[in-house]
Amino acid sequence: MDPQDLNSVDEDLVAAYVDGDVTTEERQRVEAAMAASEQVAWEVNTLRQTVQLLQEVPSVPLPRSFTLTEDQVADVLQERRSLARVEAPPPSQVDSPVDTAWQQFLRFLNGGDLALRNAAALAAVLLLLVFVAEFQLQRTQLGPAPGNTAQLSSTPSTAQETAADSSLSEQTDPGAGNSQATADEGSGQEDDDPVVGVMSTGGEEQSTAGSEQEPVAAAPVQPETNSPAAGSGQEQLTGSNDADPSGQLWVTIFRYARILLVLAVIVLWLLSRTRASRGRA
Amino acid sequence: MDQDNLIERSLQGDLEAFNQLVIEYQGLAYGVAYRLMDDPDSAADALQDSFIKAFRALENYRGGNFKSWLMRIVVNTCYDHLRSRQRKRTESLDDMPVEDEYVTVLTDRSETPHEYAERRELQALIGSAITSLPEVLRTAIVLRDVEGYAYEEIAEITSAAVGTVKSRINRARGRVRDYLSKNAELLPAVYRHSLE
Repeated sequence: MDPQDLNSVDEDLVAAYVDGDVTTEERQRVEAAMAASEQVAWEVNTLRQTVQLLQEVPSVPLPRSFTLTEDQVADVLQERRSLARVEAPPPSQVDSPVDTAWQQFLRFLNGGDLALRNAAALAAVLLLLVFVAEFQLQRTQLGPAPGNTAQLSSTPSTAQETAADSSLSEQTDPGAGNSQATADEGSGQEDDDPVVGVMSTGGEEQSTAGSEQEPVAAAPVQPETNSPAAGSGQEQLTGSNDADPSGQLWVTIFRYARILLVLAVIVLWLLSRTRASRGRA
Repeated sequence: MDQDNLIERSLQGDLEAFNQLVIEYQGLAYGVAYRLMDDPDSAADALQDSFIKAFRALENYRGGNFKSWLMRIVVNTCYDHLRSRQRKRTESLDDMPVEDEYVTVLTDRSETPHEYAERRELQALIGSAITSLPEVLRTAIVLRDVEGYAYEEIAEITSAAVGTVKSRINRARGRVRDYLSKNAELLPAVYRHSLE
């Protein structure tokens, strides 16, 4: 193998031979060429010496650390992190791939703009307080007198007498209305009376006045059971027209407060959903 | 930690994960950069730039040998910096080679100052011989003979066939030998005799 004839294939072979990365056959080929030509031998030997020299070059110490800082790649980091957030499923989905109806309901409630949602929640709490206050007021106005209860439940004749007495002074006795509830609770047989429901919820004088005829009409159907209580109920219903004026004022205030708060809850909640949808868009 | 996991986390914006890869490869990469550029400051600049480029280009990594992928970026960035430096080079004292500190090149503390000076000259000569080579030959010989990469890895890094890599290595060795022989007085006696 003449060095002047070293083509690319032979260059590959010489490099591999110098590195000891040849087959037995290839090594024999190169060594035969070296034996045949001093020039080839010189070529191979000097290359081997050169490689040895290069391999003895000391490694260079690291001058400093090349770790990156956030500032150097801030734009890429931001892009990747936002992308990772979008692609990553929320933890609730990871824990339970199929949501229960309750979880869906909770997520539905938790959606929307936080401030408006909190305002709606506050309005809902106020609404609940109004309901409670209204109920308490109603109990105060229509609540049972303990003595009457005892009378109606234990001695119907006494209740009848009481009813007769109260019929004389029904327009002036505001506490007579309490007997109705007492009669209902005591006898347990007038619970189906729709008049009671109308009165207790609305406290409206028109409805009360119009419906107070019903117990009277029903009385003949069950005379033996209804007669004492019906008598007293009639008195009570008429007596309720004489509710405390300040109590009526509170009932009216509560009624309007209730309406306003219901509207506030609905409007605020809808606004929170709308704002959240606009924010996502 | 698993390298694939670090890459995956890096793609999700975890810089600490990528920095673990940097710590793992910065020594190897700096060695290559230093030999290709023959200047510590330029090599450091190029290497820092290489890691930034690698982080930005991580989406393009399609698996395989991450080390080869990273070293390809390092090699290309080094040559980009060299070309840029050549364009900007002016005849000023700033461009003159700066003497390395004694401590950075001292490997044998038992050597005399004279031996140290000779070794420094020899290393400078070898560095000059390498930097005198064309880019493809320089890359091949640095990766193979200085840094000890396998042919296949060099082929991956340089996007060339293994046969081409071997051929380049052989030619690069021949040119370095010729360069060194012009300054034979600085070479070890064994090497000097083999040249005769």
